[in-house]
Amino acid sequence: MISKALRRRVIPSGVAFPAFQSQSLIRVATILILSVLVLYPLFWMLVGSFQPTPMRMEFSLRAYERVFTSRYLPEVLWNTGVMTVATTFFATLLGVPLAWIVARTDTPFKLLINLVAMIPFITPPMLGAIAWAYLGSPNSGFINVAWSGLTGAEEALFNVYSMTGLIVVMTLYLTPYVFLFTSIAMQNMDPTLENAAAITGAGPLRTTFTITVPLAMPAILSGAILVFIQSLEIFAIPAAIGSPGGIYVFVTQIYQLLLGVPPRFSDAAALSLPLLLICALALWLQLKIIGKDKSYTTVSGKTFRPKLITLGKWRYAALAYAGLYLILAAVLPYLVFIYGSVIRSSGLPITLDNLTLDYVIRFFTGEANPLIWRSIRNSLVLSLGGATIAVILAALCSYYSSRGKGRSKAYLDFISLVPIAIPGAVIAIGLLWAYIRPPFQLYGTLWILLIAYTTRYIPFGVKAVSSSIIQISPDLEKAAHICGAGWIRGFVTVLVPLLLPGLFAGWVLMFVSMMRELSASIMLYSSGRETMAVALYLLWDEASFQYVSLMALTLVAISLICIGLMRLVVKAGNPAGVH
Amino acid sequence: MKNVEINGLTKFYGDVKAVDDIYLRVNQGEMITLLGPSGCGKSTTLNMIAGFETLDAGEIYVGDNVISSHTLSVMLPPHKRNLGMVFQSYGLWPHMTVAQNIGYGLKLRGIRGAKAKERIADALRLVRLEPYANRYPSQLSGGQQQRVSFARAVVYNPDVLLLDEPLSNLDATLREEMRFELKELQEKTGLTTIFVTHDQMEAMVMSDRIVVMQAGKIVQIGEPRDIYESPANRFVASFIGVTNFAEGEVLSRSDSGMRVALGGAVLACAARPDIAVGEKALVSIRPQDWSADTVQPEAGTPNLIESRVEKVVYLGGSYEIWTVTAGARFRIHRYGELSVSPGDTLYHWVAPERVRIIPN
Ligand SMILES: Nc1ncnc2c1ncn2[C@@H]1O[C@H](COP(=O)(O)OP(=O)(O)OP(=O)(O)O)[C@@H](O)[C@H]1O
Ligand SMILES: [Mg+2]
Repeated sequence: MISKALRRRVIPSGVAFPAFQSQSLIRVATILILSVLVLYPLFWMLVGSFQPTPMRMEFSLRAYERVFTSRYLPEVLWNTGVMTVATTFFATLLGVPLAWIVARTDTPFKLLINLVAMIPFITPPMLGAIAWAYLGSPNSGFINVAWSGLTGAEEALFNVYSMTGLIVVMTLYLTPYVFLFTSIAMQNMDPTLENAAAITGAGPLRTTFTITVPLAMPAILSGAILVFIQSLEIFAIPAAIGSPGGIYVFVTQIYQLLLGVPPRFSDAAALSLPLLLICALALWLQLKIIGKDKSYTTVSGKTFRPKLITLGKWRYAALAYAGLYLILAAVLPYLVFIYGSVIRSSGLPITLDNLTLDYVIRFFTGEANPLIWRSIRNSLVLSLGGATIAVILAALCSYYSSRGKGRSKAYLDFISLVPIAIPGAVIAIGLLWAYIRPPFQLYGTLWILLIAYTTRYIPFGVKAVSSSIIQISPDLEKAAHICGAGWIRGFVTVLVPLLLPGLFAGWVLMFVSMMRELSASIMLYSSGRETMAVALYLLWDEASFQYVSLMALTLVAISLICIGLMRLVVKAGNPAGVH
Repeated sequence: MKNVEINGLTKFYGDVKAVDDIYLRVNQGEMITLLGPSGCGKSTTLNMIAGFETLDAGEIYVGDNVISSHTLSVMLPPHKRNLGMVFQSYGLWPHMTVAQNIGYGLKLRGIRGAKAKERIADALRLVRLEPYANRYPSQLSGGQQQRVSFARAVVYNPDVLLLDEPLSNLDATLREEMRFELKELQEKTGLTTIFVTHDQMEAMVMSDRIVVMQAGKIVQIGEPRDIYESPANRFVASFIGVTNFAEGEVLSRSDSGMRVALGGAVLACAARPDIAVGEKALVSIRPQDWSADTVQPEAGTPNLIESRVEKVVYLGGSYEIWTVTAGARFRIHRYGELSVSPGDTLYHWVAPERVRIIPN
């Protein structure tokens, strides 16, 4: 009798156990997959730097010796230093006032100025770099041709293939990061703080310099550090602008080492290490600043928004400033590509005779170059697959991070953030070493690119998903479990529907980023496995202006369609309970 | 220290008249409170005085100077008004220490060095925070932040001090303490002060005069006692403290008083010239003005009502007894022991001067 009752009591917990197991199984799998994705290439990059060739297992320090005694290293260090420091400085110098104009002044057409934040999202650095190469090349650049046409001057107005050119283009495309961080901080600032300064006797300008800017400082620094990291890892701009002028930085030098005959794999790996360390240091610094930032966010009751600062006549100067930036960063480049896609030959004046649709037709029928359609197909396959895999991983990772605690949470937060600090080139070198020989010989397949993409953009996905997951109370799942749903059923039927907007936003963000990925792809692609960004680079190298232009516009069009879709879906599908 | 004069102040938000033709004079050194329910326009009024909001009509003077005027198109920006303000969320600058927060206004007025140090120390002493000069606001408790905020607002001797619900972010016990402390600080500094709150107890304790607002309009101005004892209308009576309302009809009127019928009972009260015999009148009696007993008091007790006990609520040290008679319900506040339970008969009476007729 007693034993029967006892057994009856035991059975339910026995049934509940497997459900628990499936959850911890998935959790362990998530942690493992993420770790392999992130740490495995880093491990191989390190191993590779101590190996003479990928095929021979042997310890040697010769690669480091070669790299650190090489003639190129001092130059690469100097160039990289000048470029990144100057870019970070100017991007901050341009971005902060732009943010202030939008957040705090009565400058007209603010919606337009806010587009600044969208520029890097829509225009890949590759496009900016190529467009500026067409605009500013010393002999045939449109700006210089127009200048000598106007003034008769022999000297080019602006030679983009120079350190100055490199810094200008870098700054144009990285300023938005500072702008975005700063304007968000200024918009979310407790208005009471500025009102308090005003009532105490501080005029608008003094309030700006003693209250607004110091309070936004953590955000400004954080944006500046992001710019710093980006300027270290972007490949397209130094490749398209620096290399033709003989200016090599870390990423382009690593690429050169791979291009050599024979390719110097171990030197590339050895050169990757200092690059990785600098980026890691920068990320660590940024995290420290963001951590400190929390003590700055003050709780506020309902308060009056501070009056916008009336700039008077100066508002037109502010508008002109913002307008000039938009023209340089977006309008001119797109004009170049539009011109390029319909002109018979580069440099011809725009008359009806000189316009043609031949290139457009040949581009879209695939007659022009088999590379074009192949690369579009490859990119779509990679980005659709990569974004989907990455978003699932990101969802699991954010879930376990938001619901977990202690070490496993800390580890997940860490591992899902680290890729931000790993330049594409470094991941590529690591993956090369890891997957170039049997049994995992993935080099030469799309798989290696898929792994690279998933690894690189996991942080974006985690960020997008976790910002919506923390708004969903764990009680909702608990309620599902009380109603009798197991863990998997609870996750799929309760969480996933609520998370859909966040998941979709993360998916689009990653898809768009993968479509344009170049830093890693350029080192990992093989013939037949080109992506759109790689094809763009190759076509540009072949100097086919029209196809480059068409390719660039196609890439942007695909991104825009995706972003548009996302807006529609997020607007339509915002379920109750998530705001 | 200056006086403030507000004439015909009006503010629209779209179609909403947030502030509707307000006239108000605040005397030198006086602490005046704008009191009213949420959304009645208190903050809007204060923000117009501070210069954060434009006026749609009217004018504001501080001393002899006009600081805002619709007709004269004057709108002095906040930083030129020489006012002090304590905000609901304190608005302490998180990147400055306590001393830097307090010293900011001094620096702007050209007071620097040793002189500034002395003034900052004085202000810190005033709010009893001397040891905290070098702390950051995030290292202070709510009440301490509140006091820093006060010190920051008064250190440069502003013409007028504005307080916008400064106590509403504090917990109940601390809020009660700070009421007295703020009042004391205000008296010490002697500043002309305009205080905004929706808490009637705060208003009672702290103000020299209370301005009761409703839907953008001023409905009554007076000393706390006046407002409590003779509310101008039903809204004020119900907003300030608990009261018993009953519709009655005036039976007779003479110089010595009136008699009003309330259901079955007849109450005597002071005469009002504005109500005629036969008219309806709203009667208000505060719960604590009742006397009550379970046995019938001697004959001739004025305004005696016999009613049935509905429920008894223990309030800690006192009781509230809810009763009902034909035609009226009453709440009776009683200190000390009285053993009644629902269903019992209760005799309660009230002095005629405690029966108030409220104009409708
Ligand atoms: N910026 C604004 N835009 C539109 N309407 C507003 C604005 N500010 C206030 N109002 C409206 O004006 C009226 C008065 O608002 P106000 O903030 O002055 O009320 P309050 O008395 O301070 O209330 P509370 O006690 O809730 O702070 C309200 O009806 C409010 O909805
Ligand atoms: Mg208010």
